[in-house]
Amino acid sequence: MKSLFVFRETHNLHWFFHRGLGLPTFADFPKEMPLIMDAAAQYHACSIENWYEDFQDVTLRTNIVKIPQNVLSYFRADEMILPSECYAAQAENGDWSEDEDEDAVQVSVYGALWWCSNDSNSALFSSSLPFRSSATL
Amino acid sequence: MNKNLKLFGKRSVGCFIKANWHAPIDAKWINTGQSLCVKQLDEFYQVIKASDILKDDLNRLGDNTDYVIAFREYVSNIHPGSEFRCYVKKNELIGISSRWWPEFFPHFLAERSQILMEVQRFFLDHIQNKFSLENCAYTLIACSD
Repeated sequence: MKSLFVFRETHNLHWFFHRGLGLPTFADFPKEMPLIMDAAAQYHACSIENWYEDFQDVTLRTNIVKIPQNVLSYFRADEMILPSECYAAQAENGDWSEDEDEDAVQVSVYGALWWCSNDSNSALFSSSLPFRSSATL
Repeated sequence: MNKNLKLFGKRSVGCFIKANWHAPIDAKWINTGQSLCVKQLDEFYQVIKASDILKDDLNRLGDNTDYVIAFREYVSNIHPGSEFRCYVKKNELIGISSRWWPEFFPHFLAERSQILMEVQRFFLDHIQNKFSLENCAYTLIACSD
């Protein structure tokens, strides 16, 4: 409040005319500190990887995993194709019945492999693995 | 074999997922239970692929940024009336509102002074001068104890 008051008092027209300065221009007014200074820097500061350590005592426990470049491009793509790993996971859980199995589409576009060790990488990049497409969900 | 799977196995309750900035709240509908609780790998991919919010996040700052997925401990049944958004300007708490602001919850009125006091105390103890920006907003969840 105080700074606002000073700002008004010192920069009214009267004050300028009184000193023979003529009409004030924009340059005569002190710049208010803009609230949004640098959007990228603010995004950076608000990214969870950058604040989590400072606040981990008072927030939910979190594991943070960096996204590798190939997975990032998979996430950004519009198609909704789940990688074969999911298919395997569902088969293990047993809630992926035989009938639905026939609807599974074979797609070989993405080998979206996640934080996998080398042994599984080659298998996931091979061309005839069953991916599930959005059509069968 | 798979770090990600191990992580899911460790926590049978499941977890929230979140990109650098936002949680995929627009993809709530896609998994069974209509919640953001992710337990299995396929749920995880579905939520990510179905969420426009998350996609915006992953495109936000160009390719030089480190994009992350955060797996956060799942807390069920957070009452919407217990979430408060707090606004900070120049390292001072200047305002508090409900996270879901047009909603009104009767306890806001009944416990008004207590809420104000607790939120301010929390700010002084844990938030003030600890965040790298002097102007920010954050959200609190009030717990019963």
